[in-house]
Amino acid sequence: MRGMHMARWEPLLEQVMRERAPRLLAYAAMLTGDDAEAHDVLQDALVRSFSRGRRFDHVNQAEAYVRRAIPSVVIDRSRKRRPVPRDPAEQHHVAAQAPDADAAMDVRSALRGLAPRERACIVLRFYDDLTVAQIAAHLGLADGTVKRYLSDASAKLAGLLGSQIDLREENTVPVTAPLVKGRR
Amino acid sequence: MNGDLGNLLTGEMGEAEARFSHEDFAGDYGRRVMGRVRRRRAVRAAGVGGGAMLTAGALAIGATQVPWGALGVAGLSDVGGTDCATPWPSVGVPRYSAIIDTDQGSITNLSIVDAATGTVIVDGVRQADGTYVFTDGYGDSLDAVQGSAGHYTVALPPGVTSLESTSTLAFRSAAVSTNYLSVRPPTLVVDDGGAERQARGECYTPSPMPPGEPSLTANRDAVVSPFQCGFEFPTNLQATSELGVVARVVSADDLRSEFDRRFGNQSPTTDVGEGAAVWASATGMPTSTGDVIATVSVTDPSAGSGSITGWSVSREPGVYQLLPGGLSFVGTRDGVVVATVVPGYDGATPGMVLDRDGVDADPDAFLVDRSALTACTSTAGSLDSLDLYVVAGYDANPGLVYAWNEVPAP
Repeated sequence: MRGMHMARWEPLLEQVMRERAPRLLAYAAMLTGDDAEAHDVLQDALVRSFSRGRRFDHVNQAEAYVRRAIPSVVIDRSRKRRPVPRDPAEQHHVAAQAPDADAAMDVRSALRGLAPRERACIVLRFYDDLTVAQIAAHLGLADGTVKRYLSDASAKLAGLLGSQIDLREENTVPVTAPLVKGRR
Repeated sequence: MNGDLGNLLTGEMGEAEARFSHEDFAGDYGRRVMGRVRRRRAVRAAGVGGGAMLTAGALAIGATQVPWGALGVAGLSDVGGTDCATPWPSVGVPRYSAIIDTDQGSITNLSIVDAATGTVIVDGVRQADGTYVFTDGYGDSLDAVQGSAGHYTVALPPGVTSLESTSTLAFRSAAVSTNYLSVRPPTLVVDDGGAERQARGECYTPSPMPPGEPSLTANRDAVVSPFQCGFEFPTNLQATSELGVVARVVSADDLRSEFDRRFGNQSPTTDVGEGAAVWASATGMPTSTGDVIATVSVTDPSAGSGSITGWSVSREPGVYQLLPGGLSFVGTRDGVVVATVVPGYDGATPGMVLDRDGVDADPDAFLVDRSALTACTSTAGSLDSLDLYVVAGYDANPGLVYAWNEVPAP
């Protein structure tokens, strides 16, 4: 059976790519807002995770490690990339259609409207349920910076999705998001 | 999870997973990922990975970056009369190969890369029996024939022909031998069906560029490192909590005093002239632990695929360390990099000095003379007229971190 001893990395890497790629790609896509870039991000995360000599005992452990590397890869790629000014018309389009569309369908568009670091902070906070301190450690940012990203991003999302975002928690900064879209 | 948004993100995650569930990621990208991991692991196994340290008495890493630019910049109309090869053969489809000398101490790892993109063309890793295995950028084996003199003739992958339009190939090696800090570059062979022509690194010059080279503007989107030609600085200053860099202009007298204090009678050979110099320092660059003094190289950390790309020799005999990052100067015009520091075969950078003033001190870079800069293209103009930036970066493993700062005018 392949991978019986789990000492060699190749079978495990192959297994992760074969069995866990959809879930990892989905996570990367949520963090990038771009399906095509998600593929590049996952490749980089796999390379980083398996190049460091770490031994994984199980595919679940390897997947978790790769998943944890993805936000860092996304941030690093955004650092290396020149910021591309977003087309204002695109933002208006997203904002305009949000109130009338199903929120679950709009969330991807709304995420795309965020800056990379804002998006990463939002996903780590609200999907991965990390605290501000944990996010800061994960992304190599200061706590205050994370709070600012969360605050800015929450306000944008509240506007785009028309939903109130509950940030009231010990480690998060209180946010007064504009509730102009009506839904609570 | 926090209320509505958490539920929305969970829903989006499920939808995205369904979207990707029909893809064959392993089939589409598996080979490439495997190849990249193999190369990085091979480099680390050879002892040139991030933070790897050689103990006293062992050998410093010898890494050399040889400009292979301007392939065929010398006139090539004469058959057999030139030392340089042409990337524009007139007949047939060219086949490229490289003759690589491995009998230069104990070279553990060597590679030929496209210096502009970091793309690996050839990777060679020394095996336990002393032979070498060569692979392409995807980790697939390349045909290699070992000659009686210990050299290898390696058939470059067909895709290498796409490099005809790029500017620079670089050769790197990691040696574990005190005797060879300077590694001879490979010889490039072009066989276009007619006369076979060879070229060694010495005949290549990075400027001027060959005709037909894509403009820097055309390539700009692909340039992601401030160390690279064509990079456009979006701001005059970039610094983070992880890495920052400052620069100031100093007089020749102040520079001499500083060199005397640091180096005494072993002051760098670089002549200090009468003009103003630039003194730059990076903060946040990784430092080593223990009794090791590390400096930095001038090499772009992104070019090494996560490996270490420079070498240093401590002022303390027998103590060496592999280098975690790069600190360098670039010349810009209109905010775009048009000149860089290209180290010589032995890593030397005439006109520029790198140093750490003690264990764990921040690295300093001294630009003594603008002749340290090499123009990216023949149209870069006078080096004296360029604006200067100091750039720094290191492989934070995972991830590359960069910082830069515009050098104030004297």
